[in-house]
Amino acid sequence: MATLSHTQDTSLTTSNRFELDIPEYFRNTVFNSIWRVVFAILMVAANIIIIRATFTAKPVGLSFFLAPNGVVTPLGNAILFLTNGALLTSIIVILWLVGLVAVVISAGRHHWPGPTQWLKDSLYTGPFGAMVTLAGVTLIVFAIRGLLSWAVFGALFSTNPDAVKLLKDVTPGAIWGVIGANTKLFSVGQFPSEQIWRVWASLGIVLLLAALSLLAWNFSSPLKAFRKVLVWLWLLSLPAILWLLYGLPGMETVPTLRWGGFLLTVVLSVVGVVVSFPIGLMLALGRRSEVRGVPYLWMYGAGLLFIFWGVAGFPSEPVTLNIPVLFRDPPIWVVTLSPVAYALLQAIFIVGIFWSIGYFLGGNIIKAFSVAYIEMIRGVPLITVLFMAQILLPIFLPKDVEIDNLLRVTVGIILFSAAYLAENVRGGLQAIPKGQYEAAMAVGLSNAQSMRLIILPQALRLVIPAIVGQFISLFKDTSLVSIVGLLDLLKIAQVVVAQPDWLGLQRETYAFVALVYWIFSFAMSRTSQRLEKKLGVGQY
Amino acid sequence: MATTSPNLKAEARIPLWRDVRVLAVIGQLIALVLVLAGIGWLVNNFLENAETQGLKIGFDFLNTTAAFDISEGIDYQATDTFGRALWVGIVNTIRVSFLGIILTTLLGTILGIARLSSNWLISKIATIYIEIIRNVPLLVLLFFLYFAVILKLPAVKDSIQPFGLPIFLNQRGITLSGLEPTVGFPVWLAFVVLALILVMALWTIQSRAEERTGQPSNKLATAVVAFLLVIGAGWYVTSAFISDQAFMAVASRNIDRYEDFEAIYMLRVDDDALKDTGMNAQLIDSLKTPEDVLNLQGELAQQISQADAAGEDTSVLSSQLDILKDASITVCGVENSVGIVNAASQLRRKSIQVKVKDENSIAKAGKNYASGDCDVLAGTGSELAAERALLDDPQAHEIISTPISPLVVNTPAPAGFNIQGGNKLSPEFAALLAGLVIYTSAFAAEIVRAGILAVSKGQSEAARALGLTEGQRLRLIVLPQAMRVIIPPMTSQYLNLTKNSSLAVAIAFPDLVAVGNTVMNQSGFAVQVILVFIASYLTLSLSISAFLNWYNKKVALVER
Repeated sequence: MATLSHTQDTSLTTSNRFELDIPEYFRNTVFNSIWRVVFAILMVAANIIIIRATFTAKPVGLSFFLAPNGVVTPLGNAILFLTNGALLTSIIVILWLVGLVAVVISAGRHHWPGPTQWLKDSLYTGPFGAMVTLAGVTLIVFAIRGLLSWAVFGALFSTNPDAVKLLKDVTPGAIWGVIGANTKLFSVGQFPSEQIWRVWASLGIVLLLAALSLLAWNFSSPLKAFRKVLVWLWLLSLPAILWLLYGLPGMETVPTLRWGGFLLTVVLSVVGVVVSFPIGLMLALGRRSEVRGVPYLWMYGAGLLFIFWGVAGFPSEPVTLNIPVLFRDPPIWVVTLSPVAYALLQAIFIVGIFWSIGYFLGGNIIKAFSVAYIEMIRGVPLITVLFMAQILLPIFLPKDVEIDNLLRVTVGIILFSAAYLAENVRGGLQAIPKGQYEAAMAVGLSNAQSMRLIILPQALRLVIPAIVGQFISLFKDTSLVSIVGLLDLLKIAQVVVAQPDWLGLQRETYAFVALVYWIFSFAMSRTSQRLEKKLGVGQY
Repeated sequence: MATTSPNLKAEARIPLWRDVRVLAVIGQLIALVLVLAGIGWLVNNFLENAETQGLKIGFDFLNTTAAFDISEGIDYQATDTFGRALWVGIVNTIRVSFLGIILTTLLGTILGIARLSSNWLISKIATIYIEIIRNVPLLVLLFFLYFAVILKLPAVKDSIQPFGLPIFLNQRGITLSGLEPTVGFPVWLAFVVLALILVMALWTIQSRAEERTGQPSNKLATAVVAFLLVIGAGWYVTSAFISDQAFMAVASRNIDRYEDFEAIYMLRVDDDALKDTGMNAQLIDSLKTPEDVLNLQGELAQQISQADAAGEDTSVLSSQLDILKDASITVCGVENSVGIVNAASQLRRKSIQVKVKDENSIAKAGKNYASGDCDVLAGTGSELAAERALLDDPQAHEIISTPISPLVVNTPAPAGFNIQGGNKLSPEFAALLAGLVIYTSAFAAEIVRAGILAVSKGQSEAARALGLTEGQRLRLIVLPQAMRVIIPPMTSQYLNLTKNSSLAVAIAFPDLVAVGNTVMNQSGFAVQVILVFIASYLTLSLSISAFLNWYNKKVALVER
């Protein structure tokens, strides 16, 4: 490389003569260190192995339609010819050699016509770069060939279970019928067929609102004045749609048990983010709260302790405690305490909590609650929060209250999402310069007014991309509800794979589900990046 | 509070109910009362429900018998307690998280650097990998890896062996070579420690000499040579002096002398059966060593495939091959013990075919041996002496000492419908580890990339201007600065990985959550188990972040 750039510098005297000392070049780039020589030998060996393997690669699989009864159709023959391992490998190697020769000649003539400069800078960056390129291109081409062979050439697209049963054994690739025959399950789960119009109507509402919003925000249209109304409409549309799906008065109700598939995934993630937003906002403000704390907080703890003793009675008998200690065997620590010692333990525990809030957080109770909540939720996995919501919620509510499973899980998702949203919002609040707070104070706004009119509008604008990011991760995380028994997109996939007609088609089904999640997450992340640019975040 | 001092008088006039500070305190107290009341209400409901539904309070269930099995992890039986079961789950969680964090760091760093590579292709491949993986839920990835990749691998007897390495991929998981420490290992470890001390001493002495004289010396080479010499000597000494700790006993029933295991093996080749198939007597006589047998097997296999291709009858040839394949020495011993690994590797080194018969105790293995099920009993010297004393005719059995190094390579080998030896990763563990690493490394790669980009170009240029080599530039200038940017977000990725390992419950890997779920269903102590979950994950999270915060402080910029 040193020689290449050197020769380039002297290209003022452009001549058509070829002047490049190739042995010198290799002496400078490869043979100047024993490690480089070893590395070069390894790379050459790897390339030889890869090219030998691809040269003799087996022909691609052809499905029944391309090769009925083993007789290959003309189209099948063409595919076989084009994807022949020897042909593809030869084309790759020849193209690579052509590029290499072009780069070497250009380097020798100090003249870089056409794309040779780009080739040199990005594909033929020295001997090692060129070898990596060859191996990489070969592997990529053959990976694509393998994927096409499985997903297209060798695949069976019939959705008729009987036809699939007959052709299953002669099909070398994917059997996509499992997706085609179950589109309804994947999209709405077991939603009653005669009520599907409600889903369409909901989609219509969303699309209408989206179109109106596009108009209102993107052009200087007369709709500009209605932006506020549109925001309210969006907020109202969520409960309206949920109500419509469940059944307005006078309509047949669709129990949440029958909601499923992609519909459920979307409902869970949207409700999760929207409902957790106000909670997250309160938590963020609570955590940032700088109000003067309660002085002598430990005394309140002491008061509480006396109330507790007044209600539950001062301990009068020795108490045996079973304290779980998972790091010993047997994993439990049994202590018997005298009444006084037990009372002392209670006192230390209760007063200690109050004292530490006073000591570490200046007695700010709001902040203490916010920090405790956020850190506890962020410290445990979502799945335990879901278990908590599913199992503990019924135990901790009055016994005559019954909540259905979907609502319980949604509560879990909201509680989880709120903690993460709070941290995002806190980031936005921290990014607002102190001058803004001071200016708001200087014009005589109250605390609440300055928050509502000055700080929050700026902070929330900053955190919109982060919230979209959180929406994406929540959208992905809703797949966990399949573990607690909701029929979301992933659970539907598990159900579909267990159908007698489509047994054992895990590859197709999970690949399809992954693709659906990928398309939506990727689209949203791209939108978020655009939004970030448009809002000018990070351009202070 | 600082604002109070200038005009105390003015403030004193504000009535109590309009004083912001008083109002704030009252508000907080109201919040406190509300929250306490809420907690009290929940606890009250719980106590009421507990009474009607028969839920129990307290943690004493941790000491009752679990009565369910756990598929993998540290030593555990169904007769152990619930507490022990949960501990097995925690250890499994820690194991998968620890391995996951190490592998994620490696893969993430490679991908992050690849994204910055000047090679267009490499950086595009890394980008595509990251964009694909980041936008797919981890659970979907896990399901795909587990149900659509690992469980779709071939059956055990058709195991895939990538590049002919001793790695076996099949439906029942992945089997890799492993190192088994033997009795001599602690002694050798002492040598390793000694070598490290020596290296440190040499390094210090040479550094001082360098500073004094200004002459560069080859510190690295000296250190490496000294280290290798000492641990090599330790290896030799340990093998020579502790070799009599591992023995094999050989049954003398069918054999006159035990010069060599080769002789026993050659007697196992059934000459008469071969003659019956019509094999050339001269060819049979020419079989003198195990290698000859192996070669003949290879020739026969080749002939069979040729005959197959020509459409000829192969029954005679394959029966001959089967007879040759039947010839093997069977070793009895304790499952996965050093003795069995050592015996098998000694015999395979002599190209003797070995069949291994595992038992879970040396007494059972000894019974198998006494009843003639196997030719060799493998174990430690004292075990074998005790077993020999129990035999009918102890004198007919010899104990042969075999050399044993501090570490024995446990190489897996196919044996019938199973893979013997090696370290086995269950399909669940393999899928979980792979899923966590693949998923988290996509995020780690972005962090590494951002960290490297954050080091300004001027730093690299300055390093080059000072005449540092490329390695020194990376090691001394770029990495320490990049680390500062990398560590805080990387910490949160490590925490995510640890928490995400709880998805094991979906593919039935017995981690804390999966075991806890079973405990919940069996014992009915739901609240307590969830408290254990929270406590364990909070402890894990806090220890990881405490460690990384400590490290972060070490590498952080020292200001003012």
